[in-house]
Amino acid sequence: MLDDDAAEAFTGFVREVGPRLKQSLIAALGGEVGREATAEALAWAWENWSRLQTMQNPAGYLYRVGRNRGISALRRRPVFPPLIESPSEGPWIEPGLPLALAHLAEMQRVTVLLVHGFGWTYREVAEHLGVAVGTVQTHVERGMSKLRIELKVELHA
Amino acid sequence: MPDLQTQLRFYADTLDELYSDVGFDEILERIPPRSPRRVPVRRGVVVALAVAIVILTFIGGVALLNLFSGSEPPVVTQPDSPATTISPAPINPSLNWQGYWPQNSLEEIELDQQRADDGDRSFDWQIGLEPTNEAVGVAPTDPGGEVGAETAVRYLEEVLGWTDYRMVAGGGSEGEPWDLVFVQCEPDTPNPMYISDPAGADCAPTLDQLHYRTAKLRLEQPIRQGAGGLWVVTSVSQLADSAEPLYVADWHSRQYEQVVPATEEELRDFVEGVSEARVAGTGAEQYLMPLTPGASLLYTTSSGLPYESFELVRVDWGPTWPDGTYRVIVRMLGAGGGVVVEQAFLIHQEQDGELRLDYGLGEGTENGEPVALTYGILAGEITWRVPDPWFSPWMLGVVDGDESIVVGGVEAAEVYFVVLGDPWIPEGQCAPTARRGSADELVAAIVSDPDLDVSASTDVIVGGVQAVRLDLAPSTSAEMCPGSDESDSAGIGMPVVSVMQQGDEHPWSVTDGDRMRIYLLDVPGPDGLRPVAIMIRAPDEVFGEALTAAEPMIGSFVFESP
Repeated sequence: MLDDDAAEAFTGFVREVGPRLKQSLIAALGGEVGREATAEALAWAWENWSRLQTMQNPAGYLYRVGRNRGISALRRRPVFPPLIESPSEGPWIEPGLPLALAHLAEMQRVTVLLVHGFGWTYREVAEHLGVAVGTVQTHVERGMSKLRIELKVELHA
Repeated sequence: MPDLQTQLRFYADTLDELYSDVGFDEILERIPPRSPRRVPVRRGVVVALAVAIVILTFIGGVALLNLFSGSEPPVVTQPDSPATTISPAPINPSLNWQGYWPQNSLEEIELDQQRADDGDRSFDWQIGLEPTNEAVGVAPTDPGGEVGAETAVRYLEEVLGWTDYRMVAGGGSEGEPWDLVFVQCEPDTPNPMYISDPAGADCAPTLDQLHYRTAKLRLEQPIRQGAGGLWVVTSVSQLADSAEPLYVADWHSRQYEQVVPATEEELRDFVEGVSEARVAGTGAEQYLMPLTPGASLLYTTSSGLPYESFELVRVDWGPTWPDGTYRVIVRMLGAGGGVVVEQAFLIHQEQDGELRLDYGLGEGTENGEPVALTYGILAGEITWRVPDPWFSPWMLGVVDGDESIVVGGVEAAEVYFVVLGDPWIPEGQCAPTARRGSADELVAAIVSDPDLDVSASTDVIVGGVQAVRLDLAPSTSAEMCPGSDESDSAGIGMPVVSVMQQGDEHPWSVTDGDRMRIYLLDVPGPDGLRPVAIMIRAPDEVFGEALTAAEPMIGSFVFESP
């Protein structure tokens, strides 16, 4: 077990990194599996805390740990919860959006959801996934294009 | 209706609320009560260590270390302790070794496997999840993924003494050995050639300015395969240099290296050279990758209009580590200025520094609209045009380079569009053999197959040739055929037609939950009629959409006369 100082540092790490790790893993794996993978990745982080502290991009590493653990739970494609009806507050959402997201290739879905859904910058996504900014841009463009085709929505600027 | 971005923001907020953040207590609940960096005592290991220490002390010198190639790597143990910590010291740096690690023999592994099965948690680190290609293929820089991950990492760090490394390749099948390839990075040293690529920016070469010390670790589960089986390292080999271009490198079998990336000025000069040749209407092929298939729009617009000028819109990204690849966007203006062709290209680099343009398989627009591209098989005897969204590079590929097969598909939805030249008729249960046959014979064989539910055949015209169209699915009583070996748990479904690939029969099948539409026809070839199969395979729930999407392709087939 970690000593008190390390435990305190770890809880701070969880507060800082946990929510965004969850967002990225949900984007990759769907809601339930993504959240479960987040918990697994953070448990791994606790057990390997000293090693993790030496890493330049621990959140990115944990994303891969979580993704690898979560992917074995997926047999076909991630499950995104449908919105049976849009709440009174907030905009109307195309009912086919969750399924259309599930249909996207993984990198497209992850980048689209993180950039346009959760509001990450291209650079933040690139660092988290360990890819070039241009790669993120390409995946986002392709993912949005496919979503528009599947949802039959007009192109917006 | 709100725009798509607004809908995505709101949906993401909903996901955030629906799936709450993970709390600290929840994390602790998942951690088993164990010390994660400990290995149980093994008497044999103690003996091996003692012998190793005596020999090393007596003779001394690093030169002796290579004599250990082929022997067991020594491991530090503490005999009186109930559990033993492996020394972090790099005791045996040999990169050519066979044996077992961390156990020393099959007997030890068997004993420890039994202990693990009895609930001894000190072996948890040797137990990975089921190996999957996805685990390695998607995150190649992840040290180990889930394939004996901790075993590999500990070997690198505690036996070889590597502190900074990357996994660059890996592969294997369930129940089979897995080979994982790692490169050693110069510790705490930036890589100035690729400072803009996070993947390689902090991984400087270890042998010279371009080459990395590269080790292939073989991991196996000798006693029991699959979940719960102990992973051990059974061999390590240092991979040798190769002269092949990096953009086609097989990192499973060669030393890792990086190229000196082209400067942006060199890149611009290259793009100008290609584009000027395109405007001139000749000579652009010399800049393309070898064996580039028919390059649509190379010299003219889709309506045959020549180009009069060009523009390098932007360098999209690059150089990527380690092969120095760039992606550029180029705009070609048709004569008269009425048509604008915009294309994205990858630009690769040969080891001698020469740049090559990867014309790719699509991504072209004409006046902002996607352009259908032409593909062909059988030396151009059969061609067809592929509209968006089927032509995206990661949705369409030539299988195994076989000239008679082209496969396209919408990856995430598991939809495939397959064109087979010279398909054969599968014979026997689960297609152990196949025989040649005409289109009519193929139709008869499919219709009479009791394992397939086939719709009534429909006569149609494809590319001006009479064809038969069938819709089919596995019959409810059909028992799916297994894969080629036990590791292929998904099986092959029910074979519909076979094709010879590299001397082996390869069945194209339909499986539970899928449906297939197949067109069978005989087209004129140099040596007479030859059968062709065109297939659309998709999951039940999207089969109708797949057929609709494939219609433009079916309607675009052209068969060249011999």
